[in-house]
Amino acid sequence: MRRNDMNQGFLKVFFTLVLLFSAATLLSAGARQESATPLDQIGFQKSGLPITAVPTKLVVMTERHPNHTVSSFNEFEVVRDILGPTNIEIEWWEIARVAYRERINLAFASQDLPDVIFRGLGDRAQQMRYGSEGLLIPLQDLVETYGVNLQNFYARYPDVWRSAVLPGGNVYSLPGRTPYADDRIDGPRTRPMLINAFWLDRLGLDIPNTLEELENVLRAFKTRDPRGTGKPDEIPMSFQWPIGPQQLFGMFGHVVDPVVHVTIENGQVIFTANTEGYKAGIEWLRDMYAEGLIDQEAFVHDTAQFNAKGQEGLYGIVFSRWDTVTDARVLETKEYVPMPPVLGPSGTRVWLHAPGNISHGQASITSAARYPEVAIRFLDVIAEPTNLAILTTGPLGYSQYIDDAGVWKYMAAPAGQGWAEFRHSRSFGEVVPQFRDEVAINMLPDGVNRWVTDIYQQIEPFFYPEPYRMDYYFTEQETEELSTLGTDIRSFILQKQAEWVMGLADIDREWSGYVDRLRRMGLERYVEIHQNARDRYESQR
Amino acid sequence: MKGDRRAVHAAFRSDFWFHAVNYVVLTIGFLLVLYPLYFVVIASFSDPRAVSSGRVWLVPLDVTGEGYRRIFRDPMILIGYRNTIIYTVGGTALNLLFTLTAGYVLSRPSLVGRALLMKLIVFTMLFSGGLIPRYLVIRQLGMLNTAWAMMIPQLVSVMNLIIARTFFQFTIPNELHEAAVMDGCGQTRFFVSVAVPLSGALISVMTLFYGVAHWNRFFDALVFLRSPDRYPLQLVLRSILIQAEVSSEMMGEDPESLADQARAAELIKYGMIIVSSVPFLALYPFLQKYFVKGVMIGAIKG
Repeated sequence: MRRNDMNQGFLKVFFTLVLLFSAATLLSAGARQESATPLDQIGFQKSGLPITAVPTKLVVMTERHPNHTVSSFNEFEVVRDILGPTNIEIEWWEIARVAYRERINLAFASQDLPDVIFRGLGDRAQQMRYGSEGLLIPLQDLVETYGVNLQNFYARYPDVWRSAVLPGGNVYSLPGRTPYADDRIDGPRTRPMLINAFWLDRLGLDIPNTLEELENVLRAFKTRDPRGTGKPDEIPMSFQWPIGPQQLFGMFGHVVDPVVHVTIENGQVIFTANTEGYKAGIEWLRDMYAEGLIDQEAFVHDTAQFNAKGQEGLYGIVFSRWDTVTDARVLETKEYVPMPPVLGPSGTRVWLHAPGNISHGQASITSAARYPEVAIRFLDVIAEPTNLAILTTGPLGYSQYIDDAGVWKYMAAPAGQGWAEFRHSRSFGEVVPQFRDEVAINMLPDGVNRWVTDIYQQIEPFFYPEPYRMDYYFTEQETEELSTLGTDIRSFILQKQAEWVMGLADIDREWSGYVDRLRRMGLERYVEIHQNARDRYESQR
Repeated sequence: MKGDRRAVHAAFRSDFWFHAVNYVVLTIGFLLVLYPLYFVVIASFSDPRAVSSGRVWLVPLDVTGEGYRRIFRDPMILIGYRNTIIYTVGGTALNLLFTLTAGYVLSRPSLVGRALLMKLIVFTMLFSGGLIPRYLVIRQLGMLNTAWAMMIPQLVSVMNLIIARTFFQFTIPNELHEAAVMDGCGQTRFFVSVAVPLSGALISVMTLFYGVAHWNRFFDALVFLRSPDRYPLQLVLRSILIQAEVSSEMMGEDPESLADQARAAELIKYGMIIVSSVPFLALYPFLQKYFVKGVMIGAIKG
């Protein structure tokens, strides 16, 4: 009896346990089944439209351009037409441009994340940090599985993709290209050199080929009144320091990068701002400045002032894009023509070339995204070239059209309305991810494309062959070091340049102290960091 | 007699120089203050090219109304204006409600733990949680991207609270309260019917302080809002004016657009300064008489 009881008790417990266990297995199986197919539940399609059969919400954080006037991007006709068929309900977080960077940092710090972030995560060290914290998800497999248009784009520009692969092999943010700044002729560090052909004609001069000829032309511009106003209002040469004449310093020795002050020779990173050639260049500028051949405001004027003088046509030689001296003078009347570098005393004729037309962080997917597959397909729809052109610039027939030759062209803004105002009233502008290719160049104002090609042909033979690229990757620690070390060194150099050229201090007397001080500021480490970045890049090749 | 006249004469002469120097110095000071304001006005009517080439300094050149036309055509500026007015009026009303009541209560000696409360309040003046905790709090309160985020977080400024408390302490003597209590008046009634009507100067000053702060506030909007139709004027203006610098750093914008924006920013820069400061400039003369008094409110008297 007792034994029976015990047995019964045992059986009860046993059966209860068995029941519980099987129930748990069943439940967990059910749960697993449910979590295995959330994509099926929303009717996800691997290709074609709609992306999901069930309307699915996606939270997208994006910058907002000051010329945007819609109260929500969902009101855009281009969004309805192009993104509507995806069946994705977009919740836009539209952040004013001034606040965008701050808001991205805040979103990560507070972990209050959108599903997708458009642009703004350009710093690869930052991508690396958020990626390793699991806040950004790796994209390479998603692109490979679902990104048809993205794959096409990256197949055309393998460099672009490669530069976004971080140590460890992950890509946390899709890279793109800067569609307009053509790094063949300009970029953050370089500008074309334009010379006033009308003035040359009037004075019976040719485009200078040597340093001496260049100086003579500048003198003639100053003294022989090429504008014919009877007043010495001509400015023989102008630029916005530090961009400009340092591009010519290669004629005195090493090629000089006006921002990082390093160049590469035979694989070695060389610091240039303490070399004899650099000194000769600064001395040359000093003499030009003292003689009044250089814009006396070149170190102080802001862009508006610089452009205002250009629009009045006061410049003889100017380092700028076409917009400073107006497109009309460049493209129509050909008053300003591009000019190649001149032959220097060291017998070299070389032009600084700073390639690396890659802009990182076009789009990222965060850990908040429930369906990363949906997000990547959404981005892939945007990356389709025609879609992207329309989302960026506006509907066909409104702000752009396709001409008989199949080239995309801008339509003029109506009188009294600016171009930016005009296009942004019905399109995103460059706040959507830019996976653009050369087609964008065709979309510059008529004639610019031809002009860019023209300049390129003229200066390309003089390009420095071992350029310091702008897309080198610095680790987070290196970035941090550069932000103090690099900033100190660069601002010290900038300060001395201005003092020396403007004659506020004597370069000959200060030179050795300057070289010494640079060394004490940690020049060796500065060069080492850049060498590492360059080696890392080359080893991935 | 003669000596007297000479003395008067001398006094007049010395006074004359005193006055002359006074007038000259004050006039120069006045012009120094006035000129920048005047410059903004004439620059807002001039062609931006003339302004940036430095030719505009005394009279407007190449007069144009294009800047103002563009400002009033931009729906975002008008929406921003509307929002700023809502935030300013609503926010200031809430500020006054809480600051005055808190100031009054803290000024009453009968309040238990007054010193401790005051210390805790002043503590917040010196230490704060920082941006991210603040963001998290606002988020958990469900105020992200709402008008409340523009009005609630800085409901009471400690500085203003101290001014209000001091004001009540020194202008509403306890004896007055005791007399009212004798007539059967409670604290609430006393505050509403006696203290507030006697605090015209304080209320005006608080209105001005809080109002200006709300009018100029953009950082909260920058952090807590994400729908453009809730953006206040200052954020809209800031976006337009400083975009030129930012976008050179932002990657690859269509150069035509950039040039157009730079032109537009130059064009509307001065006009916007005027448009955004006119409401308070217009309000100022009416509040100014209180304002001068107000500066001394916090000062200890007698």
